[in-house]
Amino acid sequence: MWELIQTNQKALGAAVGIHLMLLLVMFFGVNWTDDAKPLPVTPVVQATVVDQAALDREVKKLKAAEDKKRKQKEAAEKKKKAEAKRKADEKKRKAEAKRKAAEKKKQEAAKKKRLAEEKKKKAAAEKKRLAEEKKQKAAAEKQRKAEEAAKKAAAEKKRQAEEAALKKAEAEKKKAEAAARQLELEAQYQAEQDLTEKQLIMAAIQQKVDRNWLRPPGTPQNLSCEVRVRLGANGSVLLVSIIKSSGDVGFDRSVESAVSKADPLPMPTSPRLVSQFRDIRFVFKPSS
Amino acid sequence: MLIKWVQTLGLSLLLMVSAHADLTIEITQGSEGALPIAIVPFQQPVTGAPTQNVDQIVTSDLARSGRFQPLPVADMLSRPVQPNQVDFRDWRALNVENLVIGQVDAKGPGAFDVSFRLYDVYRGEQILGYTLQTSADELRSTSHRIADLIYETLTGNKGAFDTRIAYVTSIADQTGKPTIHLRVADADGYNPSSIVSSSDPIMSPSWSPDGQKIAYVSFENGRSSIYVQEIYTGAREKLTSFKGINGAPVWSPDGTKIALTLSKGGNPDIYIMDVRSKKLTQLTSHWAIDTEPAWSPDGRFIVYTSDRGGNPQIYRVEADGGKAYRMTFEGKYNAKASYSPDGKQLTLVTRVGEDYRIGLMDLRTRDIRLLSTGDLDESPSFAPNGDMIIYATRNKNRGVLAAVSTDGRVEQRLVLQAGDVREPAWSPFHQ
Repeated sequence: MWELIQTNQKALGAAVGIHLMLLLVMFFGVNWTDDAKPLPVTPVVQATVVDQAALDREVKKLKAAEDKKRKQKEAAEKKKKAEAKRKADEKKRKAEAKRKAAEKKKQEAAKKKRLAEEKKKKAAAEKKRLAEEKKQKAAAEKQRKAEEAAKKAAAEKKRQAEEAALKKAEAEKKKAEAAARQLELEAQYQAEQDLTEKQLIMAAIQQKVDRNWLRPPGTPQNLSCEVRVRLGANGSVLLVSIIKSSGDVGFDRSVESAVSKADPLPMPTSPRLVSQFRDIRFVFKPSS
Repeated sequence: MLIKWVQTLGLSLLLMVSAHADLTIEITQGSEGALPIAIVPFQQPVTGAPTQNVDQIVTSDLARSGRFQPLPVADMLSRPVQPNQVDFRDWRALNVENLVIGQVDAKGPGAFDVSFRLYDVYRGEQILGYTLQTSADELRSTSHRIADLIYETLTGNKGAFDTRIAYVTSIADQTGKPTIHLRVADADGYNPSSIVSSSDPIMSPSWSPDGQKIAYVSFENGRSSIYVQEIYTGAREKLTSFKGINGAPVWSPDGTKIALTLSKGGNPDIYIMDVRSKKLTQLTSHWAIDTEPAWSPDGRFIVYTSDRGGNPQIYRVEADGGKAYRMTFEGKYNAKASYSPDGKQLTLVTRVGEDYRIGLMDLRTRDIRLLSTGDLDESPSFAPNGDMIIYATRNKNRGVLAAVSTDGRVEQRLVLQAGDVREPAWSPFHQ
């Protein structure tokens, strides 16, 4: 469980936050309606004026005043009546308003209560849902994590195996290359050794044959003769055959004699080279 | 992969093959020199041994050629006669390349069998072997033939030892009166015999190409005439005897003509005479002296000496006439030219300072190489194989014959002939 929490700190935080918010809402509530207030009433003002000539006018005026007074009385009567009626209406309306307000308040309270209950229920359901969700999520997460871990482990294993294989292949390749290089170096070294020895032996042969070459006096410079010489492994001259005659018997003979007189010819010590030296072509060509 | 392998295989095979074929070594130094040879004294018959010593004749022939350097008998470690007595190591130790052994067997009165074998010492094999039947009289000639066989085998050139020379010699009798002889001898100077003798001068012997006749100039009866004489019968024929000079006859290579010098036109010019019809054709016509004609081996050209340029030089003209072409420009005296048998060289007499020497002119380069060292050397004549030249030189105020190899390495006087010897002419090959 601790591990789960540990690994899902973010989810946990979110859950706690949501709960706190719900609690706050439940404690303070929200009143969604305003209270209704009665409107103010304004009083009416009265004035009187008398004259003879203006008696008629007065009488008239009195009459008129009488009349007016009566009319005013009637009007006052009417007004009083109207006032009483208005007051009764007002009283009635106020009671009605009061009743309506009470009703409204009652309704409001019921609504509030219902809403709160609903909210509570909803919150509980939400909580439950959240818990459920969380649980599912956790399980899913757990499973996902397990799967991921397994996948990761498998991938890692695969990667490691591949890496190992690669490393192995690389090492083998390197080893093979090193071996090849070594062989190459050895071959090169041998070739160089052989070349050196070959050149040395060729020079030695040349010297020995040169020393033994006695050509006829007055030999023209333009003569040349090629012979093929087969040698035994120890350098003994087995066969001397002319492959390109100079056209001059004496010169050709001097060439054959030179090789025969130089018998045995120097031979390389390396067995690889010996075979090369068993068959040599000599070109005899006097230079001034 | 397979292809690559095949390619690789093919390549390596190729490399192997070429590696074998490509191991080439050039030999350019060496040295030039006469071939060391050993001629072991031939075994003589117990009784009736001939007076001539075959091995010595062979030895001196080969030595005289300049091509061979015979080992002195005293230096020999062994003296084998039979093949089974030959130990090549003995001869290799002495650096001898060739070995000759042999024997002379008496086959009745004055008759002999001469057997010899020639060996290649380093290859350890016999390369020549003959038995020749001969007589006491022919033993020298037989010896020369053996030398010829050895020479030809080892040099590739035909030997000219079994040939002859003609020369003129003047021999004074007790009273001091000279007799002039035209003599023929072996090429080494032995066996001389006179074919003409006269109290008057004899000059310019010339061999016919078949070696049977000699043309020469004789002053008998006080005037010069050209004769042709058969060597063995002595029969002779007078060819020309014009007023003035009749000189320097020389046979054409085919033997049908003789070129000669006549002054019947007022001054010496070259003429050609048909030997059979005796018809004469004038070849040169110049106020200067034209003389000493010689044929090229193919018969196309004639070289001669002329002083038309102020001093004697060699000129050439086509044998059927044409413009003269000067051939020598070196020095103030070049004369008596004749062609080598291969037609590539001329031998001539050239003056060097105050001395007259034998020269050899390369016809390609026109360079003249001196062959002799005397102060009055004259009348050079090629051996028929072209390897040697015989000429006359002075020794203590007396004319003698000398031979020199054409490479100039070996110059050797021939055995002393009696008298004052001049004008040698080497014969053609023995036929």
